[in-house]
Amino acid sequence: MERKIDLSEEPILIDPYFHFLQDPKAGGICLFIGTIRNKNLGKAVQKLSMEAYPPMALKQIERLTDMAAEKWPIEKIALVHRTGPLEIGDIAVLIGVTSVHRPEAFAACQWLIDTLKQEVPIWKNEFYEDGSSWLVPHP
Amino acid sequence: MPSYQILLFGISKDLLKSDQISYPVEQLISAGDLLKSLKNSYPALGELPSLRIAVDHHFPKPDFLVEENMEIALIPPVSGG
Repeated sequence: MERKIDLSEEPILIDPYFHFLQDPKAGGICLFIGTIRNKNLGKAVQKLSMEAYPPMALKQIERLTDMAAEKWPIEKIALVHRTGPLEIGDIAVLIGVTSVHRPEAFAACQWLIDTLKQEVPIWKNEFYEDGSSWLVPHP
Repeated sequence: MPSYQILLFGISKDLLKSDQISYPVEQLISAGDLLKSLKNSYPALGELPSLRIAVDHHFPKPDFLVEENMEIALIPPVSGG
């Protein structure tokens, strides 16, 4: 399995990751793009900031891609997460999986985003009209 | 007396009003005991829905003995994606 993983303070461009994911063996490339929405828990969100613990976030992402490659036959994985200030509509995370057949690309992509949301040390600080707060999901 | 340097992120940084704390202990302790001790010393941390301790960039087992020179971080509930 080949991988391209990163944390990025700059806006995420899709093309370089798509080019990386292209492969003559591939029957499918599943691409998930997580974006910043304008509402959370009924409250209007104006913008937000993503804080990461960079060395551990990258290690955890590497571990998740290893685990995905053990679970499914995968040719390539791209995973990049934004950090710093983000606006509504911005790409927060891009996950791409290349495989010979499509079912494993879909399955691995879904597993990667679900597991990233539990295991990778990155935190959202949301800004509202009347202040800001760290998003604290209740597991 | 040994002392652990602990990195703080997200809401735990706000709760303890610092991005790093120095935490003296009588002797080296396990990751699980360190977490319990921190929650006792800082009750606000105990009110979080979950709190984990990371050592050298991974989540150790609770009985893992934490050394002073390891990179220790408190990991409040993550919310990336």
